[in-house]
Amino acid sequence: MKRAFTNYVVITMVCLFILPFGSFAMADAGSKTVKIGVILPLTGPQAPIGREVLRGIEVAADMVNDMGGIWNKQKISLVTGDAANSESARTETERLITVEKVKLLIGVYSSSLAFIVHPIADKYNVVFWETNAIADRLRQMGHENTYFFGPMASGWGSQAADCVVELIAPKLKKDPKELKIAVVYQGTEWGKSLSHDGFVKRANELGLNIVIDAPYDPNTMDFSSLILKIKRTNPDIVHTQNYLDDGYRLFRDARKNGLNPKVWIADGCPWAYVDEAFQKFGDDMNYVLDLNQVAGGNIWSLSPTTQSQYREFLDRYTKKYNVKSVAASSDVAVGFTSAIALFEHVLPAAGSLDPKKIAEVVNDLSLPATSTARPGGIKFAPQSDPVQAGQNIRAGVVARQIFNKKYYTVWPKDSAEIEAIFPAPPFGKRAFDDKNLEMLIK
Amino acid sequence: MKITTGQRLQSYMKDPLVLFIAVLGILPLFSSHHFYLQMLTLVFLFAFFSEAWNIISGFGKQFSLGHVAFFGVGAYITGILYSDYGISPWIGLVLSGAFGVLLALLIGFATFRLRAFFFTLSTIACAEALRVLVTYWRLGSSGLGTTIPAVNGLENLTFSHEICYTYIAYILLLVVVFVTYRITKSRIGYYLLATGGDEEAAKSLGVNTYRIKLAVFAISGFFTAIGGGFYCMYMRYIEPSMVFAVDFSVQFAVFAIVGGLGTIAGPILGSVILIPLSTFFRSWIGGLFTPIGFLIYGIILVIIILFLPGGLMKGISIVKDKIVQKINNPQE
Amino acid sequence: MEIFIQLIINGCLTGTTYALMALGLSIIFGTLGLINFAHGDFIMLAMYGGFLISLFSGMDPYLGLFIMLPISFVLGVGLYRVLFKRLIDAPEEAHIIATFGLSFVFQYGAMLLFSAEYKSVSTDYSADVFHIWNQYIDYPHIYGAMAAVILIALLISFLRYTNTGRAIRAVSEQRRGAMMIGINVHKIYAIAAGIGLCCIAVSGVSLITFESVHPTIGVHFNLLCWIIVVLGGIGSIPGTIVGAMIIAVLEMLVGYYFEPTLTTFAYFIMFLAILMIRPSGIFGIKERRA
Repeated sequence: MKRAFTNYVVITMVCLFILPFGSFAMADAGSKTVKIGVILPLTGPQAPIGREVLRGIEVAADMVNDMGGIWNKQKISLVTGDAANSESARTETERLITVEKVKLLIGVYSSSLAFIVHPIADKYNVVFWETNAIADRLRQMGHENTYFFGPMASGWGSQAADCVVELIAPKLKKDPKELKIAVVYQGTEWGKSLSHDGFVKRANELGLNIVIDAPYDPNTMDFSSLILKIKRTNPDIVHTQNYLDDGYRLFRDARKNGLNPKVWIADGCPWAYVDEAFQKFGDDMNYVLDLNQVAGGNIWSLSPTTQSQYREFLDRYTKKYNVKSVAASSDVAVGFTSAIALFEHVLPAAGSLDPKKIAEVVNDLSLPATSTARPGGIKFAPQSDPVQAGQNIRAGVVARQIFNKKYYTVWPKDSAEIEAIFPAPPFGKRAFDDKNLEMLIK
Repeated sequence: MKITTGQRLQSYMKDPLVLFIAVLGILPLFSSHHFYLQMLTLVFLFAFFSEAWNIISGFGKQFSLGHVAFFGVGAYITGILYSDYGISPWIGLVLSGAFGVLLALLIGFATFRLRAFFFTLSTIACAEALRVLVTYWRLGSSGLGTTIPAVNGLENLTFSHEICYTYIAYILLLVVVFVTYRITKSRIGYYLLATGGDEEAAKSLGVNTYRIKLAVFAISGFFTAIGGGFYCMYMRYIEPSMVFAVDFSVQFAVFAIVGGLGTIAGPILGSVILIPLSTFFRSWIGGLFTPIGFLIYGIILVIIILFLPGGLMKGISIVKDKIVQKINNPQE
Repeated sequence: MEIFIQLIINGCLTGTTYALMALGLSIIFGTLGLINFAHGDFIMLAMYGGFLISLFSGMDPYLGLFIMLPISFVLGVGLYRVLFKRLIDAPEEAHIIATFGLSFVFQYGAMLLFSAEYKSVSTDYSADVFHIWNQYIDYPHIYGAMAAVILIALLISFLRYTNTGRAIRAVSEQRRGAMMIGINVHKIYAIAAGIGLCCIAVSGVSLITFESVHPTIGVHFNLLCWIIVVLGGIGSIPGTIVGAMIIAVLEMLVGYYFEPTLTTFAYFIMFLAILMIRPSGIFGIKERRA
């Protein structure tokens, strides 16, 4: 009897164990779709941004499918994986590759997750199209089939420093070396690699005067102490890099404690949600300089086809997700621009998802800045490059100044829409009349 | 009466737990799929952590949610020694274990005077304080995250085939199960159970409860730190916010409690069921509606706790009693 | 010196916010003995509540409290009947896991309902700053502090001068004794849960006037509130206030004079140090067993 019971228990346990395994549906191959894996954080603390990127990619796939798909009318079907934390990033990538049998992955947005996901894609020789992980070291890990569409941290950071010299110093009518710059960023891999290893390093090369280099804990609820610390150094320029939460708090506390720098540079995403920011801060948002990898505001400088494509994207995005805002957040646009470049310029030419063919196409790719809504253009470094293998070397950033819920591209010069206006008046006196803008439009 | 090794082995063989673990051990051989192997690795690894957590928190009823401190310290010691100084991860693992013991003694010294939930919360505070401190230290150095170079080889604890990781995790699990078993059958184990049951009563019987708790906490910390080192070699990337996330401690606890707190089989059962389940829910719907899966997962957790307070092991024993009763009195 | 005063003022204002956030937890834990690890997510839901009311009616969020308070009270009673009642007699670990499951439900439910975008409310006083003697104080925080003071005064007088309040205190001190003198313990618990949720509603509303809400914002609030409640001493409202002030002021001072990355480290260490000296928290009653 005892033995019978033991068997019973063991069988039950094994059944319980096998049950969830069996329910992972096996993919049916050979259908008329092209399966593309999307790995992004869709639950957990990074979900807000991961979901935005996914929306952009979905819209891009819809657009391609409605135009008739790729390669003999095959539709693109997206399979998502949820990289909420390190284990799930690993298992979900493995699932997409081995169970869903995808041959190409798009993702993963966060540098920290990219360090885990890229090696796995590499192990299976799967092409990885990285949307925006910026850490420099990712480019140096020797993954042959990983392509980075967005800019890398050092490039981004040094462009921000160049922007100070080329754009801001002349506007303030000062020698760049006289300007006092405060650098504030969240103490994460992302913050450190962009602000500290990128911006500060380049600024030191240029001989700029960094008065404070302060990482902070992104969970801080009230930044008054940090703001007062910055205020003591009396900076002309505050360069901040943060996510939404800490970005809003930092700006709120700067306003509340009367920190009035002549230029507030926001590197990163908080000001990308411009409606929400205006909802919170009203006119005080004017004059903020938003440095980002997405040019929503430079549509006019793009080629006509890219222009209409981007307009269509905005249109579809607002309809599909019932979003009221006219401007898409930078994360949605990042997802869209990365995905559409892949679907439009790479896949049709490659003819299949074979890594070698894709590598050939990517190596020959050379597109001007007018052909993508991401600033810069498209041209990838060869995989033999020791520092920036697989990096889109033309990927850059643009500086946009915010006036009355709208972005106006002010830098780099060739895609500038208006002349930047600095110094910014103190908080509370930042109301801006749109009539003044008309004079500035080039 | 002296029990011979043969008799002991025989008695082990009769235990359904041994059979269950043996079945688990064979499973990787049948799952050719890398994805399933990887899930099994995670199942074994988390069963291992949960089991190590269960020694102090299940048997000793010292409910710690700061075990991630050992985990993170283990991961960091192994990872930094290997990636920055080229020291073999095997040595790193041993050192991790040693530091795990030291840290456990330190935390235990500071917090074992506290009662019940105060203790739980102060262990979380310790882990969080460590997270912030390590972040501060890494911010001042070359990079916040640490990547582990991939050079395959046993001496580097890096393999090209997933099954090696699966079996290392399995061996870790075996070791911790064996140690737990020996502890429960030893004098320390009885003292520990007494301490967990009623500390005042145990004290009045002359048990040095403080020392017992400290010793067992150190054992638990030792294993968790070693596991952390292995996790670091497995993921090949660590970052303070990743390896010091309180979520880990909560997960250890969830697996043990859902399986059955204070039993050897409980933590294994918990992770065997919950890890595939959560993986399934993660990929169930996909896209923007992925959260639905986790919503259901949360509801399942609440329901299990409400209707099976002793965990799945309790449920099994209820079923077992019913069956035994039916077999003994078929008329009823 | 000027900066020091500014730091202290800012610290105290943040402290009142913290106290407000922790009050609901203090009441639910102090009375029911329920370890609620979903507290932060309750606050998140309350923030969404404030957001929705001001979105649909255009009212100031604080006025929205007239709608939110009754709803919160009913929800609290309902939650007690459905969930907490079954939990309070279960061991502590069951509380933690069940409320952890609950926090999953809340977080992912909110993510599905509101998407993951950030939402906030703008009020007439959002940008207003009170400027006196070279010190800056912003109005949203001042109103938050006023709300906290009013709520605390109401709570203390309720607990002290009404029969229900006295019954709540009796039950939280000695459940069995209270039963023996004829107090309907379950009714009292339900009321306490309702009051706890009302406190959470007030804190959510006051937070939404100066914070943005998103589905995972509660994760960080949770630990903070727990630290405050335990630091102050369980079941003691003055303790919660003092705990909140200590933590907020300490954060300010460490952030300014030391390192902005180490603010949380400072308060965790402070927490451990205080518990080593006073194992039941600052205002805690020694050796009380549930």
